[in-house]
Amino acid sequence: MMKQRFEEVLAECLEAVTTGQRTIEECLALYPQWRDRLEPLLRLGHRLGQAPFPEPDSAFREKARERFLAAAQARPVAPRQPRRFLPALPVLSRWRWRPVFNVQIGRPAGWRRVAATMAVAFIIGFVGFSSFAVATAGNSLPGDWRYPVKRLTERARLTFTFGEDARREYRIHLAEERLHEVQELASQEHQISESVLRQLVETTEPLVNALEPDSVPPDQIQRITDLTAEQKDTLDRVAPLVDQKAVGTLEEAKVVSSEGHDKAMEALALAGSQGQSAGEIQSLTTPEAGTPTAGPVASPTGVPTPALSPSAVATPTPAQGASTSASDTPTPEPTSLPSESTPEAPSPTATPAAPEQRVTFLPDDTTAGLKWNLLTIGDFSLRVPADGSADWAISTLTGDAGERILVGHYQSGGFDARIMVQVSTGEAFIQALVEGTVRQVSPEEVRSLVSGPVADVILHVLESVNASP
Amino acid sequence: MRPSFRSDLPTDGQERDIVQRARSGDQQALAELYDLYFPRIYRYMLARTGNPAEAEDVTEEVFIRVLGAIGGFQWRQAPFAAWLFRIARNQFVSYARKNGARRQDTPLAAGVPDRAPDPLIRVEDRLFFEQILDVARALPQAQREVLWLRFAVGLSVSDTARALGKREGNVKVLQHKAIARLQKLLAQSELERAADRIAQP
Repeated sequence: MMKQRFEEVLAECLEAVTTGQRTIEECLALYPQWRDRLEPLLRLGHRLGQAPFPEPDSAFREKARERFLAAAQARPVAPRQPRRFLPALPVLSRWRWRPVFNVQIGRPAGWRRVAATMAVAFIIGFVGFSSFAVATAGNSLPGDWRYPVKRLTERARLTFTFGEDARREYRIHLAEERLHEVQELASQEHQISESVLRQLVETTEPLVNALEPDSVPPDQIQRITDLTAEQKDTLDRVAPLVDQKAVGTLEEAKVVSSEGHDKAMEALALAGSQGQSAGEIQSLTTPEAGTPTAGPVASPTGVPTPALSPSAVATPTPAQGASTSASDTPTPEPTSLPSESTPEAPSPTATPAAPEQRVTFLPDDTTAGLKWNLLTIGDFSLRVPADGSADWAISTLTGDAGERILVGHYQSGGFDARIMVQVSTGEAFIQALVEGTVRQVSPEEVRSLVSGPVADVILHVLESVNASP
Repeated sequence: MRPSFRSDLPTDGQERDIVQRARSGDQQALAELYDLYFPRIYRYMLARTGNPAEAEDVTEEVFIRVLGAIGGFQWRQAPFAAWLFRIARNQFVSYARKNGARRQDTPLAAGVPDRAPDPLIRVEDRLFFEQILDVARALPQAQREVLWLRFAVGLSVSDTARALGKREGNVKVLQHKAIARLQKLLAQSELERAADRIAQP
């Protein structure tokens, strides 16, 4: 009790002193019984409040401000309309209030008056209690008596939310709310039960499964990206508080958030790609690093490709002008080489089959401290960071312009650098986020725009592009 | 006398107006929010990272995230400052997770610029700042977070609680423990410095 009181007094005095409402002496005079204990802490707190925390460098601040405003212009803030639980009621003033019963009963007898009073009191009490429960349930946590009211309200609200985008928006909100509940429970050091984690999974998984970059607005993709990233952090932090019986569900939740984050990042990449027609995005499910096997990845058209034995992996002959760093990989003899004098593309066929894709782990490649795969698409190949290389996303994009491969470095909600490769021509573009906008940059510029390790990866990918036109 | 550390905050009404306009995409309002909060976020990040270059990077990332999220901000859920510092905290956690190993070795306060007009105050302030940053590393993380949000940023107890997802009572306890512990650590640090001076020929 005494301890709690001292903390209250200290907090009150610190607030008053740091905001200049009282001097230290005035505070001490208010609490003479605490004077000896309070004074040194107040003086230190006051000094901390006045501490000369350095200001940011003015040149940096100005440049960062310009970049922020440029980003704001490039990606205008999309205000989200508050969602209504129910459609707006008709304007009450237009209503004509009439008695419900038009019965002349005269002056009620005594018992009737008591009964009527009790009924009215009951109705008022019931309505009041229900309103209180509904109004305060919004902040309740699992285990609270109001929590079922909260969930019921959410379900009702979802029922009365119309339109695909609005419903998705609300589902994202619900997933955020479930995450917030886990964080709140953890901050209060409550045990995290199986049902709490189950709800987190059940709200997040459908969002991730339905995440199609063509149909989901970028701001919602962004929110799902943030949500899943925060989920990953939170689940790691709260693990010690998870009920032993819920360890399996915790692992499931981690997988959902981790895979969801990867998928959302890919969707963001497509949403941010310039000039990309509404094509198909295909996630590259690369093999686990450390398993040097080769196999097909899903065909962009969904047509299954036949399984290939590891010996079938071939590194194509380097294209003209394209250097290769593939000297440490086995390079079987190609079955046929195109003539150098005929640089024309092969004559088109009526219905070209989707090129075969293979991913091969490269154990000897440790560029930039990452694990690397060789991605082969038909007669085309390039090196890409393997799964587990944090912050790098790899996708294939199929659009009107043909197939493209995107290798992007993800940082704080966007791609700061990425390399886009046009498979059919072997042409590679490097794009970087410069002053809030994505533009094409030359290899020479890369190091001046992104950090060293990021530049190393981008340039390594670029140098590894091999194509046999 | 130096002005109070929170004297440059806008009133609630002013802030509401700016945030409301920013939510609608008003560039001027976004710039005002940036100017208002950039130094605070930077101070928080400097306290957390102990390195100006890292603090600059993470501060910039926080504002990019704010751009993507401000459309969904709602007053009834949290005051703006609490909401903003929740984003900042998450961004720092994410940053620290990615750069954990490297960050451990970061020299404290290297390259912190001097800005005070009086050279004597400047040296004294700088020493105090470095000393605080140094000894605060020995505090438990929860205490450090409260300390920086309360005194480096200037958030109220209530806003600190909301930013950290804790109860006000919990924040008051952490604040008390942090200051009491810091006081002992500073005294210890002074003793060690004095001992060093005596030991030197």
